[in-house]
Amino acid sequence: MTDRILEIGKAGLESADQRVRKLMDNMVNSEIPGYKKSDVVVRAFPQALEAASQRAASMLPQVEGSYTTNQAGALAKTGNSLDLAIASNGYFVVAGPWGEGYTRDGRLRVDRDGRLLTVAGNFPILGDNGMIVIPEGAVVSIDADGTVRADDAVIDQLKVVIPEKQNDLLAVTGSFFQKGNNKANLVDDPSPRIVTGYVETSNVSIVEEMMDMISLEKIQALNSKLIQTRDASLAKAMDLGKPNQ
Amino acid sequence: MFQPLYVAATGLSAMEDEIMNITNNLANAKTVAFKKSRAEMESLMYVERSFKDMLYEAMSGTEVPPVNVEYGTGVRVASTPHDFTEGSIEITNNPLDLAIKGEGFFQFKLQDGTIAYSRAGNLHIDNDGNIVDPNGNMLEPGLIVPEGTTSVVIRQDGTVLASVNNSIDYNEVGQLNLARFTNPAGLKGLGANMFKVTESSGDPIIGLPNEGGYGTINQYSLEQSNVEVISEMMRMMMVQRVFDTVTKAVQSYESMLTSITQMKQ
Repeated sequence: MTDRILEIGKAGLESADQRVRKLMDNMVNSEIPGYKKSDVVVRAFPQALEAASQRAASMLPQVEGSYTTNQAGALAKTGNSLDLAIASNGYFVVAGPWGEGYTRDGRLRVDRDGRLLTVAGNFPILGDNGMIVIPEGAVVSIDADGTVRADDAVIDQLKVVIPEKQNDLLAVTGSFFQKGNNKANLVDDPSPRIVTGYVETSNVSIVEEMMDMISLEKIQALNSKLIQTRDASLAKAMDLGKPNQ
Repeated sequence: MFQPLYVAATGLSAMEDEIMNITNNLANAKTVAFKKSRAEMESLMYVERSFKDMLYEAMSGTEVPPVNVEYGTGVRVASTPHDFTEGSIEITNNPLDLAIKGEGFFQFKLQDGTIAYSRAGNLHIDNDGNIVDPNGNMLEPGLIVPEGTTSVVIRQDGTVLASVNNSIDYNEVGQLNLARFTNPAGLKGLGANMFKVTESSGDPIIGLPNEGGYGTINQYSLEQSNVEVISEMMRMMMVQRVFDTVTKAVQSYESMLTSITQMKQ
């Protein structure tokens, strides 16, 4: 026997559980430069009803998918000359093991071979001519338009791209993205605005996450109450059927 | 099961590491030429599908509808690079207090024969006339001042002159070399202001002071630590607040679990 009400309660508990997972991740990542808040979309009852009326689908609250917000975080000063933030739209391009990656986390470092890498993940950052290699012993500086200089000589230009649609990007980590589908199109930004000595903080608002957490706690309590009540009334119903009562 | 708790645990332990790092910076705020380090954190890989989905897929031979739900798995400390920005320079009255204005490092031979690199120029002369650091490690290449030396002059280009028995003539007794690195942030801290070469720092490039980027030697000066106490404190408060929030969230999740376990009376 399946009981409709018990199922709804269970689906409610499950979707709340998945949201908590997202909230927890947002909270622990709230201090990561370039981190983008992410959440799941739960199909609301009206949409579920509509879907159910057209085909035999369930009317349960269900997790439909997840999304990442692209709102920019605030810029925080670090004073480190290899910390970059993008003041315009767009993403830095890195060479990840999965292919091209995109990020707004501009914390860079130079490795022993002089390659310019991201601090998070150690991915080589790409310029117009591919990987950027700094000649031995030279001092790197990066201009506001993304020109990379080694001891004042121009060696490359940081590549900054803008996705045509935000959902073209799929998260690899909270701050690195890849193309989400084959049709994804990213266009070069010819005039990016780069700020050195700053990082873009995550766009997570701790207050918002905390509020969501409180409401989820209540939703969870309500759903378990619902199951409890239904359980009790089912037990009553069964009692009715017992002989000699 | 209990994924949110694992995610929270990664966060709490990364923040604990960061607090430890900040504490170490603060404790060394008055150490000569101490270089602060930063805990660089990174977000962990996203997972697209749960085990449950994959199991279902494998068993039913059909593909689970592409709902495209991604979950983060937390955070970790990626590295704790040292920040080699120069500290401010304090004037002293010890002739063997040297500060480097530039990117160079002094080289010292440790007791075990290996070479270590340091920015701390609080040097001394031992009873054999060797120039050593406060722990008795000799400068590399070794520098010996003659017996009876009464005063030492070190020029900005690193030449060392000594006068014996208050003579007005100074004789050159040696030359200081400095080392530079392609990626100083990759050096490994050994404690006692010493750093060691690693894979990521690259090999040292040895040169003379006063030449391309090595920096000048300044006598009667000491480089202070580059720790900014106020910004460390601010950072500490911020990390503590996030730590608190995550702890609260864990409590919330815990009470959610309780409400589930109490469903069945």
